[in-house]
Formats: sequence, C-alpha cells, structure tokens
Amino acid sequence: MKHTIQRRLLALFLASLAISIVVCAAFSFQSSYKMSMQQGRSYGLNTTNTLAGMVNEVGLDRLSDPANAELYASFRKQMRNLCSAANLTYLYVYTVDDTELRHFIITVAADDEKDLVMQREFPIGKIGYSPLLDAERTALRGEQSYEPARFANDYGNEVSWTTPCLDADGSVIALIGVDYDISVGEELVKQRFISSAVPVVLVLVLTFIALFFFTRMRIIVPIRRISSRMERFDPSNAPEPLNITSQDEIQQISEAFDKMSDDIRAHLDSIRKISAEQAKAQAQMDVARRIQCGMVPASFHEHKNGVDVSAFMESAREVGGDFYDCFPLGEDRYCAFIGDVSGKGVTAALFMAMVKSMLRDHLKLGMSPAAALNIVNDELRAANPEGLFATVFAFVLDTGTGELLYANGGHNAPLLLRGDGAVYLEPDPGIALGVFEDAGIADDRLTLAPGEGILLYTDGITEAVNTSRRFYGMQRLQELLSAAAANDSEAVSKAVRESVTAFFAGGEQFDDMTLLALFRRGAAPAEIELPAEFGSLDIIKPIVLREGGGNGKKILLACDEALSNIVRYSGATQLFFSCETGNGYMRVTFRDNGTPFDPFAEESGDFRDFDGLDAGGMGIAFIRELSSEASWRFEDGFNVLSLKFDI
Amino acid sequence: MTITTITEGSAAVLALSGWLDTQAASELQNALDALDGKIESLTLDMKELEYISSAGLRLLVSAHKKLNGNLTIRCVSSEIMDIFKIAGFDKRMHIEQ
Repeated sequence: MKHTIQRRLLALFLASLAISIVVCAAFSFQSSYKMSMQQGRSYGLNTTNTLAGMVNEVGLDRLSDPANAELYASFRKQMRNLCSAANLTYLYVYTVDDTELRHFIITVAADDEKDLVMQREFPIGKIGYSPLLDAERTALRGEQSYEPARFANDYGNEVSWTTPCLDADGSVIALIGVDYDISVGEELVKQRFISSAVPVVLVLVLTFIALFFFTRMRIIVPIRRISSRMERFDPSNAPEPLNITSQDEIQQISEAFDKMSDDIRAHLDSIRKISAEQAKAQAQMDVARRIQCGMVPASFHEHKNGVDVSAFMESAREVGGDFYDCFPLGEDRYCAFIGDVSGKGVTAALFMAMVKSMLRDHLKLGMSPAAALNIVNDELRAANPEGLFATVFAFVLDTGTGELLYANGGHNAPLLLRGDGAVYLEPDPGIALGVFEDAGIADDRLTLAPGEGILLYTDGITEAVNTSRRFYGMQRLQELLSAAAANDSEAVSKAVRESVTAFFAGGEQFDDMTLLALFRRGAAPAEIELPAEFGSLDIIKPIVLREGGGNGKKILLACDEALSNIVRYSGATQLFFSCETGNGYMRVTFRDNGTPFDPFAEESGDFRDFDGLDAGGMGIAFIRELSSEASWRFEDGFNVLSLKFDI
Repeated sequence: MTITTITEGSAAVLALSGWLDTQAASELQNALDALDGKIESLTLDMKELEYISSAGLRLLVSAHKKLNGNLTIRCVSSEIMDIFKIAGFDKRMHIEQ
C-alpha cells in the first residue's frame, strides 16, 4: 500500500498544526502589538505631563541658564528616573524657534551608556535641523497628538510622541519628546504569542493523538481484519465470524461481508450438489442407453430364411423408447415388430424392455400378432403404475406363400413396397398397448409377392423437424420410396436414413428414429436362358453370389462344374438356369437339351486318386461335396440337374 | 484373370490374380506351357486369387506331376484352401497359407 490512512491523517494534522500556529501568531502579534503601543503611549504621555509640570515648577529660564548647573544636573537626574521608571528610552525637552530649528535643553536616556552619548551629543543649546514632524507642529499649537511617529536611526528602533509644555497661561513654552523602544514591545509580543500559542498547539496535538488512536482502533484495525478475511476467503470452510460490534459503518461492512461469504458458500455448495446430481443422472442415462442398445441393435441386416430384412434405430440425445425385433419362426415363417413407448428416459427404456420381451416371447410361442398384442396389453394393464403405453405394429410372414398376418396397436401405418411404388397400408388403427383393458386388436392379412416388401417405422422419422420447423412427413417418405422403386432392404434403409438426416441438417434430432424394411424372397424367379458356353458363368455369377450369401462362392463353384460338364460333353443347344432360396437353403436347377446323361449314375467322381485328377472327374466330385442334395432326371427331352445348398 | 510370370534361372514364380474359372483355365495353361521344359521348380502365388474351379485344379495336378513335386503354392486364402482341402490337395502338395 502506497498511502495508509494513518500517514494521511498525520500529514493532515501537520498541515493543520502549521496553519493554526501561523493564525495564532498573526492574531497574537496583532493584539500584542496594539497592546504594547497603547501601553507605551500611556506611559509616555503620563511621563510628559509629569515632566511638563516639573518644568513649569522649576521654570524653563532657570533651567536654560548656564549659571544654574547644579539645578540642571539634579533636574536631569529626576528626568532619568522618570524615563527608566516608565520603561522609556529617551526623554527630552526642547524649544522650536521661528525658523523651525529645534533648540534642545535637556536630553536623557534610561540606559547609562546611551545617556552618556546624549550628554555629549545633545548638550543644552544643541540645535536640531531636521524638518519638523506633524506631531511637533500639532504640539506647537498647544495640542496633543496621539499618533506616534515611528523611526529607526542610530539611536534605536523607536516610536515617539511629542507633548506641548504649557505655562499657566496656556501658551507653549517648550516641547517634550518621549521615545519608546519598539523592541521592548516586540519582546512583549513574543511572550504573548508563546503564552497563547502553546496551549492551542497542545490541545491540537492531544486531539490528534486521540483521533489517531480512535481511527486506528475503530476503523483501521477492523478494516484490516475484514480485508485479510477477504483475501483468505475459502469457499469450503466457514471461519468464525469477525464479531465486530462497534455499532457503526464498520460493523455494517463486516456483517455484509459475512453474509456475502455465507451466500457465496451456499451458492457454490448448491452448484456442487447440482453437478453431482447431473453426473449421476447422466451415468444412469448412459446405462439405460446401453441397455436399450443391447436390446435393440443400432442396425441389423439379414438376408436368409426367405426374407431380406434391414433395420436401424438411431437414438436421440436422451434415451427413448423405440424398439424393433425380427426373427424366423420355424422353417417357413418370419416375424417382425416395431414399437414406440410413450415418454423418454430410463422409465421409458425399462418399459420398452418389458414390452419388447413380452411380445417376443408370445410371438415365439406361435401366437398370431393380434393375440400377442392383446395379451401383452392385458399384462401391461396389470402392472403399469406409471401409466405408460406403447404403440406396436407386428406381423408374421409365411415365406412360402407370402401371406402376411399383421396387427396394429395404435402405430403408424406401414408402407407396402411393391414394384409399382410405395403405398401406405391402411390397417385398423387399433389402440396403444397399456391404455385400456380389452384392446380388441384383430389380425388382418395381405399377400406379399416375391420381391415385394413392407416398411415399418416410428414417428421419429415422419415427424423429424428441420430448422424451418417443418415435419419430414409421410408424403415425403412415400415419394422417396416410390422413386427408388426399391427391392433391397439395405438400400431402402440407407436411402431413408440419408434422406431424413439431410432433411434436418443443422437441426437437432428430437426423437428416436427407427425403421425396419423387409422384402420377401424365395419364390422361384423366372428361368433364365443361357448360351451353352463357358462364358455363361458370368451371367449367373451375380445371382448366385447374392442369393448364396456367405456360401456364394462354393455354390458358384458347383454351378461352374455343372455348366462346364454340360458345355463340354452334352452337345446341348438350349440351356436354362433357375434358382430359389428358402429358409436356410438355396436350390439351383439347370435344364439342357443335350444327350441324356446322369452324372450321378456311376460311382465316379471322387478325390481318392490324386495323380489321376488331371484326367477329369473332379467336377462331379465337387458338385457332390458342395451340395446337400443333388439329383438328375430326364424330363420332356431335357436333362434336369437339381442342386440344393445350405446357406 | 491376370498372370504375372517371373523366371529366375530354373525357377519361376507365377502370380495369379482374379477368377480362375473354366474359361480362364486356358490362360494358365498357356502360361504353364510357355515354361515347359525350361524350369525345375515353380511357385504359384495366389495372394490375389479370388476363385478356383476344377479346371484350374487339374492344371495344378499336371504341373505337380511334370515338376516331380517341385511345385509350391503360397499365399492361399482360406476360401481357396477350403477347396484344396475338399480335393485333398493339402495332403499331397506343398501349400503355404
């Protein structure tokens, strides 16, 4: 700190002390000077009056007569006594002639040395030439001048008064001068000043000391305590209160500071608590999300069991309640459902988990979709304290016949994906599960031809909101899928996902987005006619690889061998190829009009004779090895080779 | 398919790439014929080979016989190895995976 209050107070005090001393000095000088002048004048005038009486008594003529030296000397002695008794410096008697010259008669000084000088320099008859003063002229007229004349010369620093010496007739016979040494007066002034200034200074100093200690005790020390308390402020630890009880502004500051510290501490505390709670809630949310993601995979694709299914679920920031599931039911049926639970967060996630497992269990038991939905509804009604509900759409597809049995529990209408575009199915809306007893949901049915599909979704897709607050909408979804003329579930799922993501670009995803697309496969596609040459393998290659999945290359190898045999040995001019897939299998059929030949008739075709392998026979051995069923028949002039593979 | 031949003295390396089906087998046949009688040992690099059918396997067997077993097949993918195993090649030929 550059300036302390104490130092400033001291400076202020010194300044006021100096000013008071000056004021005091000026004042006491003024009054003392006045007093001493008055004193000098009254002494002086008393003395001159006395001396005038003495002169009249003795007679001026006699004094002036040189013959009366004795009288002169004794008179002079008396004058000196008068002079020193009245504290005067000089006392003198003189006359003024018509030419205004002074004729000194007697001149004395109170001081011995000065008196010797006077005796020598102002003997009787000494003439003074200096011009007359106003006071002298006044005296010559017989009047008394009260204003003193001031002068400083070889004889001292003096004031003088001149008094006329009048005879009995009242005429002026001589003038009497009296000089008063101002330095005497100055000494007096000094004494007066000291006697008046000392008490003033003393009082000032005492007052200052009292004020200084008061300030120190009552202001500076408490302020320093508060300031050090502020410096060492600790948000986690409340120290003892300062307990300043001075009942003044300092106490106010101290109390205000204590209150402010308490407020800050309480505030920080609550912030800490809130962050801890938030972290805990976030952790729970993360767990819930992991549970949800574990139960409902973020994406799914399956191309077997007579169907081509793709699904995805994209969670919003919070855990929501979307779910889907799909699984084969025995050899020739495939089941799928999608749903959306009301609300968000952990509660919704738990409810979702419950609904999903119940549905799955009941559908796996072979219940129809409506039966499963109704029974799940009843179970939810029995144990649903939170009053949550779920919308669900479920179906079971017969992969052989294409019959699709479906039921709706208040869910969004699915889209049918047919060769001529996408059309919304108009199912009975049904009712969300968990709301009413006896939901009365009924099954309905439709038929999916091979290559046709169905698209299930949640409102997170159709109600995705973009930055201009528009919904993605059912129409946009329908137009997108009609334009795509899709028959590949993965492509459909990808197209929708990209379209919705692009739609709300820059905005936030508010709700879970879930989609499930399923296409029916399996039924025999039309037979393809192939040229009877090796290069025909390139025509069937993409079909076999796509339908055969992970086993595609091995199936293709068998087809390659079959085709090679036909081209090489049968002499066929017409060749047809067809394939179909079912639950876990793929069947390939070649028909040719060549020479009838049963490749499986002999025990030919194995790998036992390694060195003879280059001669042939490996092809049929591979066909046998790779297929699960291999048969030949001759039908309507055609060799029919039928091969079945596991996929 | 693509076949790259590197000959070094009496040894040659053939790098096979792509699909070795019945049709492509003639290409390998030609490549092997070109080396006939000039080499004592042969290595077939199958790192880039995606598919092989019996026509290709037949050529391997005949090459193996011609070189008196001095045929090495290397960098075989697991898919093709499956085929080799079905045909029993893994027991009779020198194959490095």
